[in-house]
Amino acid sequence: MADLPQQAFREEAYELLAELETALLELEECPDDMEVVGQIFRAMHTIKGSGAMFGFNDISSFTHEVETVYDLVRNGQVHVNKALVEISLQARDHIQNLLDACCNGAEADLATGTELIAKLQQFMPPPEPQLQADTQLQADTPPKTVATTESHELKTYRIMFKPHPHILQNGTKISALLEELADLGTCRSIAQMTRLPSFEELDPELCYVSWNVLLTSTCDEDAIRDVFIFVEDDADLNIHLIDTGEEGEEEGQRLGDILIGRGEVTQNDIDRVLAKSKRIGEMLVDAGLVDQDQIEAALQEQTVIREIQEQRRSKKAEKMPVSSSLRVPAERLDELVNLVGEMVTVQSRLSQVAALRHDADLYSIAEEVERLTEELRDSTLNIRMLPIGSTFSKFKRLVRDIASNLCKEVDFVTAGAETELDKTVIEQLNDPLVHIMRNCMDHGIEMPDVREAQGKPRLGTVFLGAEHAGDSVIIEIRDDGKGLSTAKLREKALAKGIINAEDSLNERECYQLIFAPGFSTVEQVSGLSGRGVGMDVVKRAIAALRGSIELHSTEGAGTTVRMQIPLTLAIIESLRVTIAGASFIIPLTAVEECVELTYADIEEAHGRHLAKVRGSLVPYIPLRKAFGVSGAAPPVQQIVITRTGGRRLGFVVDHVIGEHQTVIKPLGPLYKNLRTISGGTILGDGSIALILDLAQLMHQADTLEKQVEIEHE
Amino acid sequence: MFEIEKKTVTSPTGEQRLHYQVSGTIDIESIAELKRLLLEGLSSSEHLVLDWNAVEDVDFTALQLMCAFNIYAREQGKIFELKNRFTPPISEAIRRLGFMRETGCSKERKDHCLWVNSGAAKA
Repeated sequence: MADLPQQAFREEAYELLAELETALLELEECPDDMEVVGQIFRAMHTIKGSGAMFGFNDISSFTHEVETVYDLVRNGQVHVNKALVEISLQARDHIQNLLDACCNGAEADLATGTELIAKLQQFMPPPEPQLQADTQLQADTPPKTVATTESHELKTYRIMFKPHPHILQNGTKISALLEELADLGTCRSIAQMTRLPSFEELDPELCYVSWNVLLTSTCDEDAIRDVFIFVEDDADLNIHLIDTGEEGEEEGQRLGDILIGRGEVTQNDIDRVLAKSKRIGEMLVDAGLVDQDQIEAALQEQTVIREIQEQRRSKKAEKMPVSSSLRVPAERLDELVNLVGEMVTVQSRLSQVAALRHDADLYSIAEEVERLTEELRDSTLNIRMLPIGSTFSKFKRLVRDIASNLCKEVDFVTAGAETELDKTVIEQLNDPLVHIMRNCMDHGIEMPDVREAQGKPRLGTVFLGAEHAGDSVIIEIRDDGKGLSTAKLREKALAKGIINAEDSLNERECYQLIFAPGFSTVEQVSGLSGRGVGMDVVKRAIAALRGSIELHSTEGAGTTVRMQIPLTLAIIESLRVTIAGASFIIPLTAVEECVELTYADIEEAHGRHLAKVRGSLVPYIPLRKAFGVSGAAPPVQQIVITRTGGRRLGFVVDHVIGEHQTVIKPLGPLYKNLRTISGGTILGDGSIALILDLAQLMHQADTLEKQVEIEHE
Repeated sequence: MFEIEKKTVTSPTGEQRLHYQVSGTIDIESIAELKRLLLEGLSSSEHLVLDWNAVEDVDFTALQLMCAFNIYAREQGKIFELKNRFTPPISEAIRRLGFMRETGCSKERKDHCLWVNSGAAKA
């Protein structure tokens, strides 16, 4: 428990590092985007500040150096280029390594940090000679960085700048000073005309105007004085802090208060004038206590203060939901999902009991519980839903780094980052996606010169997209690289003994070869891919998620890998069927329809497992036979027609019971080799139903069919 | 540096106006010349129109001069019109230099102030 703040810092820092990576990659594409620079600066500023607060001093001091460079970027003193982004990404990785080391109790690699700081310093502008001299004189004074002149709070200053009439003669540009002030924050200037002489007396090359400036900024007074450093002998300058930015200063300042604050009237003057019924500004002008310029400036000040307070109020309001949110460990959520699963099972039992007892009251309660359980289930599963975009940003970095290693030019395009998936599914998708992306980059996208010679743009494209399709998500990875040669795939499969010379494969089957264990088409094994394990692992990982994977390719034009993944792994809608009294579960997403199968239909098909469904023939698998169930089948069986991996296939069962909320339970390591069953579930009566793995059943049927064909030959 | 195209315009009511079409930048380099031209213009006409439609940028000396001249013309019982002073680049300069007003200033009340952008009447 004592470690909780540190733990909170770690979690926050990892999130900030992920944001930092995304922002840096964005900056590489749009180096002039100051909003992104601001994001980077803020992320580093927070890591630095919180790190120091919780004793992560190595992280804090290293991040401070990177932050300093980005502060200069913010101020336009350092320009963003590819090299700076590259070093910044390395610096971000170093911060993560330092964080990992802290978490694991390992020793931090400080040498890399020193090396990176040296590289970063090359981007810093050389110090001006005067500043250098100052630094030497004040050796014990800490070096001045903007970070030391800034605080988190937005403060508002009233700056009264009264230039001497001859100020313009030394080449001073008033507009440049005002612009420099505006760069420090939000600025509102009001020109004061009190000194303006008559037109005849006016020397147009002299300055008769003075300025009241309201500046809202995080900077301190010294930073403001720095703006006027070269004109301090040619102007009068007064700076007053009128709003400290702290909570509690919520009372709106009235015009009279502002004028009193500025020393222009006393409270007595106000009281006296208030006795009349005119507007206070008008009354003060009439009373000759202030002029219209002063009223204008005070009105502006009032507006600025009101705006700041309004902003502060809305920020506070925005923060409200944040402060009411909780950071909950994922394990607790898993526990909650498990409990909801149990609840669904009990509810199903309650409904069954109520139906059997024919008790109207009990039935009504059971219905109510069913409705609430359904809501509870949906809400709980929704808590675990995360946008897939967080994974996408990781791949942006992956693609960038691989492209740089391989000297390839690649544009990474994403779509559907907001698509939500169960947290566990997202986590388990990571490795398969890495394998596929690496394959795209290594085997798919050609070298820029090769692409050019083929009339393609030098810049290859890798697309990663996600979209909802019912209760599944379709994830598509597409490249415009060289594609796959079916002849080459076949040749390789023959050489590896995956297929025989006499095997005839259609195009789709040829592409499926790529998912076979030990298959690789690349001549040389590279550090990235080509060890022949990738796509086999991918297929198994996707199957473990109860998903399916397909691959399409056009030689010379590119390859598309399409995965269909269920939204959640915990509870699914399903169809409950029985075979010889035992219950089985078929995921409802795959089910198209149910039709009857009579003895007459079987005889009509002359022993072939084909059913005529509204004019078209659908192959089917008799599950009694597939599972070796003895005994006679009922005279009228049911075919559950499904669509899996683009194929229509029926599964013959004894009876279809109906829809069922299935809480998926793993079968345990003892049954790990049981390919055709993907899990189990507990039914309302306490019995167990097995969940059918349709893709595996289909694959098994194909293999059996081929064996039979070979035996016949 | 700015350029001025001068012409005399007769209104349907027979009133003659001196029209100065200004283009370029008005800043301290040329501000003395503008003062001279304005004085010259007002001495030869009862109604002087200064059109800033083609002005690209102004510094504060231009705005300062306009304030003084606006008052001067009225004191002389003459009409001075500053047309097209709220074009985007000039509006930006007026705002940046702190001349944009809501209630006028110590020298001019709201109804006479050049920098109260309350509609097309003054622009």
